[in-house]
Amino acid sequence: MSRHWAIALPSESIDPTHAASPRKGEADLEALTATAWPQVGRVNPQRMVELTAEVRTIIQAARRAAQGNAFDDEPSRFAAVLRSLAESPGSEDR
Amino acid sequence: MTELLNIDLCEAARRIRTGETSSEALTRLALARARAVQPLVNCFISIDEKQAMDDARAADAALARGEPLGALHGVPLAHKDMIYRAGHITTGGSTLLAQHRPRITATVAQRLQEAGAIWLGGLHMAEFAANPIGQNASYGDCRNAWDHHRISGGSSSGSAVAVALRACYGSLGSDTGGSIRLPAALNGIVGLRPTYGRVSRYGILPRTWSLDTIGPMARTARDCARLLGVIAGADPRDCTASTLPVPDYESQLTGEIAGLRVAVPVNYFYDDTTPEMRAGLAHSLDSLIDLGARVVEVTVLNADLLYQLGNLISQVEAAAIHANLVKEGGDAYPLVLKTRMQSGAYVPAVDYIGALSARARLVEAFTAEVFGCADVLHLPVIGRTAPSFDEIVPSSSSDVFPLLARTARCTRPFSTLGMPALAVPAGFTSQGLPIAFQLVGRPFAEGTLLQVADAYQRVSDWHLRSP
Repeated sequence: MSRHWAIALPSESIDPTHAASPRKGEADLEALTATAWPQVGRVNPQRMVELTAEVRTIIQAARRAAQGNAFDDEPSRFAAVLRSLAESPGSEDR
Repeated sequence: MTELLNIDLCEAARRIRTGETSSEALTRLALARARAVQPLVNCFISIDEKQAMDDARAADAALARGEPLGALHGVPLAHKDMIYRAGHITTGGSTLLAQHRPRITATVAQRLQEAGAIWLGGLHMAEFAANPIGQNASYGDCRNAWDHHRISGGSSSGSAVAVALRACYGSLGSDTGGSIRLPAALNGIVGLRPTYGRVSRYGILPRTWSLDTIGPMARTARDCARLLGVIAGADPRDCTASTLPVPDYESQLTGEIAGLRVAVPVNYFYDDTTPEMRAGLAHSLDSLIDLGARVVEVTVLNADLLYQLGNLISQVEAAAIHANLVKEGGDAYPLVLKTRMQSGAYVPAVDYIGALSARARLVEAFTAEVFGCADVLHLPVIGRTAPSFDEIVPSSSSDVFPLLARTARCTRPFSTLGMPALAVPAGFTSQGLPIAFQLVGRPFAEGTLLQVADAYQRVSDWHLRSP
């Protein structure tokens, strides 16, 4: 397959066309990532800038939606919450 | 096709146990059926005839000796080709792993064996379980059981198609963003994504650590209850496996759902649904109402955000898991997968942790909002029937990702929340393609979902129809 695939943004639906040069930090990130993802040279760096921006938008929305979560929940609390919800009133499978 | 292939998993187990038939007879029939359908739909990656027949004869001999029998004794099953058994090739749907012989055995494989199940072979799957459409450049596409010109859905493609075509009595699949529910829906079978942590993932080829689940796919809710009862439970080798006791799921299948509250979403989930699918879902709701259920309308908050969060987590973790495979695989690693996963490598660690951190409060809020007023949520699995292969050929990359997003828009939000969700056959379109509804429950309420689906299957016959 020789088609040049665009990189998938988190929403899997955005088609950015902006033009700008990556800043130094972004270039460093690109070089770092290329060690694991060798085809990185085929990706428009600007898409990475947009990816980062969109990710930030998603996370900020998640923080707002998660009742003010300011990243103070350790990720492993998720499993504990699932269990507590199973054991709360209304659960059929206790 | 013989009548013996049309019986369901629980009936097959009963007949073997009572001596009405033998494991050898059923295994021989299933293998013949697998050979017959394979050229038509490509649902198997490997078929292990000798091992299966040897195991079936051993199962019959154990029965004759009066040995204790497991819940699946002698029943021929086949599974998504990502479940490790020490020494057996497990491809993950990719030729990059064509010689991959794991040195460990998955906990679920061990439990199936202890329950007496026969393992017919490895079933087709989208490469690395990474595609809800089910395409596979390594082994060719698996075709829909009801129309061979259409997609099977993925990534548990072969599991759904083999069960629908009666080439096995049940199967295990995996579900990260919809990979059990979508192919189950598109091929007219039942598929359960259990609560995150209900089933051990030890010895399963990972797609993501935070979202992967292993679950049953079969023709009936009762069959799925039987399979789940065998594979669920704590596992010292998987710290994410919950220590909550495993209920007797089959005992909950009473056929009674009077008074049960069924929530129906008024936003998001029907936005991309065809009129024919809407009609099918409405008809299934009418059946539940006739059984005594009460319907309440709910607004599901943050559905699109939950989709995007799950996608973000999935991309990051897949990028980490596959980094070496991409490097070593070179051009053999599918470019479309590489492209999707690569974006995960660019997500800042702070934001990835933020996504994981938000989940606990999101699932609390969701549960309070929806399950404060209902016992189950009823909604589409997918808004349309299986597209033809011609329809999914992308003209550009910008066509691909929206297609993937549309496919999983009703399934991925519940993956993000770790909730159990069940796909249930609910009819056919005018073109003869399956329609399905999805039931979502509060964490660890698999029994409730199966109870509702079983009650529905007692008053419907969609699951009895065969392609």
